[in-house]
Parts: sequence; structure tokens; C-alpha cells
Amino acid sequence: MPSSLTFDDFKPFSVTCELRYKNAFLIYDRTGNVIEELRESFTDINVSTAGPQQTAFASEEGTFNIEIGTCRFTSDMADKSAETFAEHCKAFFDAVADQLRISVFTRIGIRYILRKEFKTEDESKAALASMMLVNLKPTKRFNSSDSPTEVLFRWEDSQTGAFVRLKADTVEIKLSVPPELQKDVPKVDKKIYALTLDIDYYTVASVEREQWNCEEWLPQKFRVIRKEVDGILQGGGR
Amino acid sequence: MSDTGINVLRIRLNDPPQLRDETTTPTVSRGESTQSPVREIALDTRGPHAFARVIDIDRLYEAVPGTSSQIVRALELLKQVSDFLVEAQKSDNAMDADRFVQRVQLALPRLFAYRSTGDGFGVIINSLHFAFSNLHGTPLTPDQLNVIWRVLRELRARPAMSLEQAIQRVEELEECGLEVDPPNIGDVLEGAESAQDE
Repeated sequence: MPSSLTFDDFKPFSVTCELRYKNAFLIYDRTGNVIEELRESFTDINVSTAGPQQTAFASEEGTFNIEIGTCRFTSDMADKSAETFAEHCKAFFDAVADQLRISVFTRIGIRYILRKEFKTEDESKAALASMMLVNLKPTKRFNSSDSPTEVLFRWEDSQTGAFVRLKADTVEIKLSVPPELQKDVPKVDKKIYALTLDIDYYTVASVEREQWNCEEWLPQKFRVIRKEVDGILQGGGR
Repeated sequence: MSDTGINVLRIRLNDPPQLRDETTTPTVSRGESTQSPVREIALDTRGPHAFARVIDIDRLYEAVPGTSSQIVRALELLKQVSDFLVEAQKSDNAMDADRFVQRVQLALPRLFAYRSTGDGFGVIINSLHFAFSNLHGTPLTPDQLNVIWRVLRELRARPAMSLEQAIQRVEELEECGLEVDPPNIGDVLEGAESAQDE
């Protein structure tokens, strides 16, 4: 019986778009220029880590990371469309590519992580097992669980690649509060049982900057992800 | 004077063990894996030091059945137009060649509708539109045909072409004798130049 889950049953958790390029040594001189340029497009930019080889900063729209050979933008996608995410990516990547004079991207990847929460760990494991994505008899292996708790598929050729990972996850959120703040900040100790859907869709061959229109590419890839994931969830495993 | 330092709450996720090749994300908390000192074979088949093979444009923007994408439509139309020009180049008969060129001219307004594809896209299509208009029905020379085909093929390979790159392509069109400015603008520019000379 096909799984009853569809892509829409999962709640977006985070989405990251990442560019990789040959080491851009202008990072030592121009990271500040990138941040100043971005202040015009993003709200309340705050630098969280600044170093010669890596700078991370955040705004209301998401978090940014620039390294010598890679840069990425991550958003939680809450109340945002693919088009809005693409607009933010364009502003960021244009600034990075202009300032660091990057003309070729060695890899462009989009990493989309979604979750469906369950009441118990067993329920999330059962949901994964019900998809029958792996053609293995449900029996104890390695003296561990009966069914796999994580399944990962990768498709790749010389041009593009993708992986889809499904995992029955137990997410523990623990916030230890220093004694002097304990009366004001409640202690957090929570467990979330969820089925995590983690998709990475990326280019294998290099992409010239003049080939890549971020605002067209990203929404298109979101559509591909949705279609392919629905296909996998709805019986693609058989 | 500085304040006495206080503890600042910080939540840090442990760096997740990376898969062989994955888009880095700060938000994945994956179960512990046993660390392996050898993560990849030393031979670079991908990444910044690998032989840089450029992606096929049709693979970068794949046509997904049931969905509509402006860039996919623009690429399809550019392919059609390039094919017409190839047919015109191959044709021994001047009338047949001109018929193919006219089809290219007719496709230009539709291509112009996709100008948001890139800064240079609209510039090239617009220049070609005026180049055809300024010919006033005179057939293209084989050289002009070849240059237009090359420029459009280049645009298809790099649809997000920058303005600077597009201007270089437009200059190539001009070098082969095509007038790419709108007729009235040409008059204005000529007038301005002659006024400067005086």
C-alpha cells in the first residue's frame, strides 16, 4: 500500500542555497563591502562571526555565510515563497560574486529540510517503515532496530545530482540557563519526534555566472523537488 | 569604562558530520557517525580543483512537465531561432534562406518578452530587432547571418549574460555592418556627432 504522506504533510524547517567557487582571495579585502552592500536589501544585518576566511551574519530574512571557497544563504522559509527566497539569494549572491569577482561556480546546491512531527518515536519510525523505500525484510540487523531509521538515496551524473534522506528523528532541545538567569528564563528540555525529509539538489558540472539566473533557477528547482519527492513518497519505492 | 562581563546565552549546534558531497546547512543535527579519517579519494573529480566542465544549459534549467518556466520557454525559442539560422546558412536558394531569416525576425518580439532573463538578454534582442528593421528588407550577407547565429547561440548558452558582455556582442553585430540603433536615435546621434565636429 502506498504511503499516505505527501510533500505538503511536511513543514519547512530550513532551506539553504550554497555556491562554491575556486578560492576567492578577495575575501580578505572585500567582505566588508559585501555586508555594506547588503544593508540596502536586508533588515538589521548583524555580524555573528567575523574572521579572515569566514564571516557569518544574520538578518530578519535569514543567515549568511561567506567563506573563501563558498557562500550560502539559509532561511527558515516560514511565511515565505520560493520567489521571495530566490530574491534574497539573488541580492546576496550578486553582491558576493561582484565583490569577490567570481565568474564560475563549481557547485550550486539547494538544501531543503522539512519535518513532520509525531507524538512518539515509534510513530515516526512506523511512518518511515510504511513507505517501504528499501527492499529489505523487516528483521533485526546489526542487533539494532528492526527497520532502518534513516534512508538515503543519491542520484548523480556528470551534470547534476540530488540526494533525498528520510530519517525518523528525535530532536532534543535543551537550554541550560546560567543560575543568575534561571528565575527569568525558563529552562527548556523538550523532545520532538519527527520524520525529517532532507533534500539536496545540486550541480556537478561547473556553472558560469552568465548561465545562472538565480530567480529562475530556484523556484524551478523547488518545483522539481516537490514533484520528485511526491513521486517517492507516493509509491516510488516500489 | 566597560561593563562587567555577563554570560550571554548562545545555542550552538554541533557541526554535523558531512556526507561525501552535500550542501552545507547550519540547521542539520544528525546522529553521531563514527569519524573516518579518509572522507574522499584524493583524486578530485569534482569541486574547485576538478577539471571544470561547464554544465549543459538544458540540464541547468530542465523542462519539468506540467510546470511553466520563463527561462525554459526562452531557451526553447532561442533554439528554434538558431535552427532557422542554420537552415538559412545551409540553404542554396536565396529565397528559402530569406524565408528562414524572416521567421527569426518574427520571433524577436516574443524573445523580447523574456528580457528579464538577464541584463544582457534584452539588449541583444533589442539590437537584433533594430538591425533587421534598418535593413529595410535587404537580405543578410552570409557574414551577417553567421554573426547573428553566433550571437544568439552565445545568448542561449549564457542567458543571464551581463550588460557588458551583451554590449560586446552588439559591437560584433555592428562590425559586420548591421545598424543596431533605432532609426530616429541614429539620426539624433549623427546630428550630435556632426554638431561636435563643427
